[in-house]
Amino acid sequence: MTIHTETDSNTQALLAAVNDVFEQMIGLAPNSASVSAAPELSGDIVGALGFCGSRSGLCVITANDDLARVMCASLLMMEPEELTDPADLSDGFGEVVNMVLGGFKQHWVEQGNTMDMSVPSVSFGHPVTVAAARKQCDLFCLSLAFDAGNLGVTLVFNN
Amino acid sequence: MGHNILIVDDSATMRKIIMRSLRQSGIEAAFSEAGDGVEGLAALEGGKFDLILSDVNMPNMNGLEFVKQVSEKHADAPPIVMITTESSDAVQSALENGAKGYLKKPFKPENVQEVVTPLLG
Repeated sequence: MTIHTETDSNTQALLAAVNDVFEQMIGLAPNSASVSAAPELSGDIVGALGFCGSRSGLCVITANDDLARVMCASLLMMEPEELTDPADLSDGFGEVVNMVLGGFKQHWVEQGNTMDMSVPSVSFGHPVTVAAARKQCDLFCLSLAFDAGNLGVTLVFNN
Repeated sequence: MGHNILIVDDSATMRKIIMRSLRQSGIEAAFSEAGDGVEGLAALEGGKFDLILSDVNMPNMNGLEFVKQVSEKHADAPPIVMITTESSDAVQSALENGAKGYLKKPFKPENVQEVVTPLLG
């Protein structure tokens, strides 16, 4: 497994995609954002979206419950206390994963690659962990801190 | 008087977000939904719409093929496509296929209003 801790173009594109979604559609700005040396593959809520094409892999976004509720409520133009239906939380969080990977895909395709995305899946738990990192893979990991909690973004490319 | 707007996107969540963005902008409309271009064309056969908002990347029939068919068969319903890049190729391709405007995703609610309002008159 190779964890990319340098700020290369893929990492920059991933961070730009995350920031774009949060700024434009959620209206939240992180207090800090950094490239992580380890993937965050567990959280109270985990959204994962697989892809294939030039390379196959997985995009995983994790958050604690408070941050997930703030994010999804804002995205769906609701108040956090109105998010009583788990389906709204699941749909909203899945859409965030979809938009983040969709944003990254633009960069990926511009580099001459192809990418076909699956539909997102969202899991809840305390915590849920995704077993995504194989022995032979490239990992791009981000950690973003918000007032309501932390967000982990991990992009896994299988080799 | 309210408008009839058709929203075509394979994400039910995104359709919900667009409807809420339009309502929040004060646009009074009756909304119909379709999950892809094929469903969108079927909706157009059964109703009259003042505006169509369509995603590009969808299964069965993508948004570019959809707006092309809309411009050929339902010229009274102006389509707006939602694209994920503002590259000149993507915009040109959308407009050449018959789109009357485009909305870049991700978007703020006010972006939806800016694009939609001029076409609703």
